Amino acid sequence: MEHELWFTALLNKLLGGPAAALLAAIGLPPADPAHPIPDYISMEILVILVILAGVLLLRRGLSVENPGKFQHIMEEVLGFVQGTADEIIGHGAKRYVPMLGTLFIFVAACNLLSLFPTLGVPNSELKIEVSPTGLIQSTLGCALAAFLYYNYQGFRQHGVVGYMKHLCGPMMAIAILMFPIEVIGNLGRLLSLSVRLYANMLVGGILERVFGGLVPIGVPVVFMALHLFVSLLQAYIFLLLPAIYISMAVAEEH
Amino acid sequence: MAGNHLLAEFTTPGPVLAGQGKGGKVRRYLLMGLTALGALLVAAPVFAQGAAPEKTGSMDAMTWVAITSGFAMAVASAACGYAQSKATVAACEGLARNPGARPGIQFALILALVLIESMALYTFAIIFLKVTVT
Repeated sequence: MEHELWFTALLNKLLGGPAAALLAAIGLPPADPAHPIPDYISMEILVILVILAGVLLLRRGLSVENPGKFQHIMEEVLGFVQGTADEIIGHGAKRYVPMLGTLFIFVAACNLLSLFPTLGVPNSELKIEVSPTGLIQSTLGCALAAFLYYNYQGFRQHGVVGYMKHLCGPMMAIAILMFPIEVIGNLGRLLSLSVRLYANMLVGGILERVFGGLVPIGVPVVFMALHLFVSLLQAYIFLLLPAIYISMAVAEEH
Repeated sequence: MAGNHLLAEFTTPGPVLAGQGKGGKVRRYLLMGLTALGALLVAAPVFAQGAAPEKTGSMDAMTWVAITSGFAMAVASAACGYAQSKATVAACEGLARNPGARPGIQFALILALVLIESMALYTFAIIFLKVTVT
């Protein structure tokens, strides 16, 4: 097996047996039974563990009169997510804030992970180091979560038949034309969400390796700064677009 | 140029040393030439790429894929750049006309830029799926 990250090796040592057994049980036996967990999944698990640890730390120190620094920062982040949701979804946005906030924080943390020295997922065929969201598998997972969530909220708001009627457009007369267009449009949203994030992160890794290879002093820092900016922007987009899709799915015509 | 700070006498170069005026002409050209040479030296690894052995006269499918993907990416990037510039122009004009509407205009601009950018990136993604190094 090629060189894997230290955290992946640790996870494989601890959970390799059960993970391989689980994969074999669902019919997808791993290529290398001693190392069933690939690098990008272990990096995403690391992000989840860090977020969980941060949240537990936050909960212990919560106070109304005397908030600490971490609480201030997280209040700002929460206010930002809630403000965006209120602006886009309007009435009843509070119900969707947990999912939107999770998407935002998870995608931002995964994107920023490749800035840390040993935590970049190596891509052997392109010889670059990339963030866990630089693989189509993980961005498809995030996009699928958002897609299923906004459709579920649409079904919940309008009922199954009501949501189908919602997809038929404003008039029943053109429903036979509108319904396939709407379905394909929704699938296109799934595709665009995943590919946008994947391509941005992949391109960031490629640019840094190409230009950093040409001029190894000073230029990688510029591309790391660009990657920092693009990571946060793409996380904001992963907050904004699902919010827009939710608002369109639960919209009440009046 | 002429600094009023305390160390102006020591840090402001005289005309000849700065390459200005008649006396500094040679020095100016020398400085420009050496800077250009230094910039070329920094990019020296570019010349290190060895030439791949080519089959003379045969253009197989992979070569065509490589050529067309180059043109496709160039066209996609050019169109994306043009569209983003139009969006930015509209945003700047709206902002100049009505600075109070900044949150809304800024939001619309960022959203538009990211969506247009993703169009060029779809082309890039296709290229990376289809063009393989043989």
